[in-house]
Amino acid sequence: MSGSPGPVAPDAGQPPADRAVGRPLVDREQDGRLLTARLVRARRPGQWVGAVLVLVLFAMLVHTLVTNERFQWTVVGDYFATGPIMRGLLLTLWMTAAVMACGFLLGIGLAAMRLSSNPVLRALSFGYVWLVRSVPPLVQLLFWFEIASLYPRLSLGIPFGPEFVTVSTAHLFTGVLAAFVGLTVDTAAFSAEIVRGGILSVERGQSEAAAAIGLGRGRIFRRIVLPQAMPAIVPASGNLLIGLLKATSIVSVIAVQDLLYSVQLIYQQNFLIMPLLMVATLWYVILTTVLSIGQYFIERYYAKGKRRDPGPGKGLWQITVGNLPVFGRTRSDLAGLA
Amino acid sequence: MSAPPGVTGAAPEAGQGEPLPLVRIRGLRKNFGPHRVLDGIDLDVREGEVTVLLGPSGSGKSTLLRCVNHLEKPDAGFVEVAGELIGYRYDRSRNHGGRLHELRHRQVTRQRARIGMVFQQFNLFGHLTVLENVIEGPVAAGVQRKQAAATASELLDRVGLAGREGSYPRQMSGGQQQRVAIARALALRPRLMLFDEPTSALDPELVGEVLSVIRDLAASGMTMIVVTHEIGFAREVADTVVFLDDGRVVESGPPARVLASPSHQRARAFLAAVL
Repeated sequence: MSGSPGPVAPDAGQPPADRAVGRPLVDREQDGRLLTARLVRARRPGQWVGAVLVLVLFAMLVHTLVTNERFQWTVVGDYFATGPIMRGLLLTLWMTAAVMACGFLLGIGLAAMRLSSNPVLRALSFGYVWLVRSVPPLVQLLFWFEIASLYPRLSLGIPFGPEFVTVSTAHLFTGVLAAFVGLTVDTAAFSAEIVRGGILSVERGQSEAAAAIGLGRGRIFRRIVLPQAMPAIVPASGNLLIGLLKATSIVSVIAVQDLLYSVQLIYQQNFLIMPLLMVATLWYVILTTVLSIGQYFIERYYAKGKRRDPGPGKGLWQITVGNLPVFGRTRSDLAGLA
Repeated sequence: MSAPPGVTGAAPEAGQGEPLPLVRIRGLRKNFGPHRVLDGIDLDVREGEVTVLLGPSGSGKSTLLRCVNHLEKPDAGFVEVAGELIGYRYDRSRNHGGRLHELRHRQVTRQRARIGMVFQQFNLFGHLTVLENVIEGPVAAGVQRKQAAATASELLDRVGLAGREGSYPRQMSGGQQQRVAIARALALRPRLMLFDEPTSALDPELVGEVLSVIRDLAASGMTMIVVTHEIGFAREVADTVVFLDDGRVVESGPPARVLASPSHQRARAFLAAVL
């Protein structure tokens, strides 16, 4: 505190006996001054140095993006929304959506198996997750693409009995199906672990209380456990989904025309490599941004009942602004002290 | 689970005018691993009576309570509520002493719906409002939502929480949460209420409001089994005090006798420590 002498100072010389009479420790006038004193924040020069350093680096990045003509932003603009790019983008989008939906459903099943009381199902689920997580997704993709060399024909029928339908595996497992299956198998393993973690985060008492009021097992899972597991599941799943969106780009190795492969096909002809990679990059950034915003709203939805105060929570904008140092807590926030 | 010897002798007790107790527990045993938590419990609770279970921690009070609505499966012995075996079906048609068949989940669920339970940690559903917490059971049992909501409002009024239907559990004090939990259990119109240390997780100044709700419930003629450490409450409300130690009933009777002059040495030591 600046400008105010220490609160005990006036009393320092008084004999202790004087206090016993009931004289206040500090006189009123002193208290008043203390209460209205201006707050001077501690100086943090390190923060300023760090901020300036980072800002300079950021300015350099912006500068080079704008001035380096070899980025060829006009070319980026020309190709940004052309037919082949849009078709690639569409494939990336539906591939991501289909893989996430199927992978997640499979993952919920695997998590349920892992948490079941049946030891065979538990072991199977554990083994699946172990195996799939051990193999790089790129290897899995190639494996499914080449599955015809292991099993030239696939048939539907009774195990060890008659077969009803038989197809040639090479015809069935085109690049798109191989990509879909490979990524789904991978996503299922990871989402199984996310869902299992979420379910374990709900305390046992919740299912017991639900059982005690006569809810069946399915209803307990749907109405009581799953909604409360969601706050733990959503952030990790958002992460998984965004990872998957970008991981779909590996399908370019088996010639599936996703966003990246469409871009590659173009730059292999005109050699405008960097601008076209920027086109793909910008689209990935845009999609990720949209997904992040979606995740924010889903998280907010599942947070109901989590807050103690019933008032509206801080919005996305308020949180963003609140986290920027420039707009941080001001003197007026501290006015309540006076 | 093998057929316990008491099962076949169940019927004769019903005769001679004396009505069958609402809850009959015979020869109940429960092990957790090598540890025997319940070691042959026999207990009757008559309709409209309040039974308070006392005993040192680890004596098996909560486990006994949880066996009554089959949250724990007994290893031997049986629990009968309103003449119905809980969790099992007795098959007398066989000639080798009969068999007990485990009931399917759905049937156990139906049995549980008639037994209300209140937990130490309230266990309200945090993602549901107070109203949704209370109507969840009845709605699952097939009651119309509107009708369930009307009943729920009455019950909330009865536990002193009228108008709090829209609140979330986390916005309430522990005492209020526990009263919601009581309303939730009552919403199924149970014939029997189980209280598992309903005030042990509460701040001292909140204990009174919950006990007063339970007291009113007892006065209304509800049959209850209460695990508690509130000796004063037991003395005032209980018709029977049962003292458990090491998984056995060591003392049982009207509170005036059991609390004032316990004959068993362990009961004496426990009461001396808590009073």
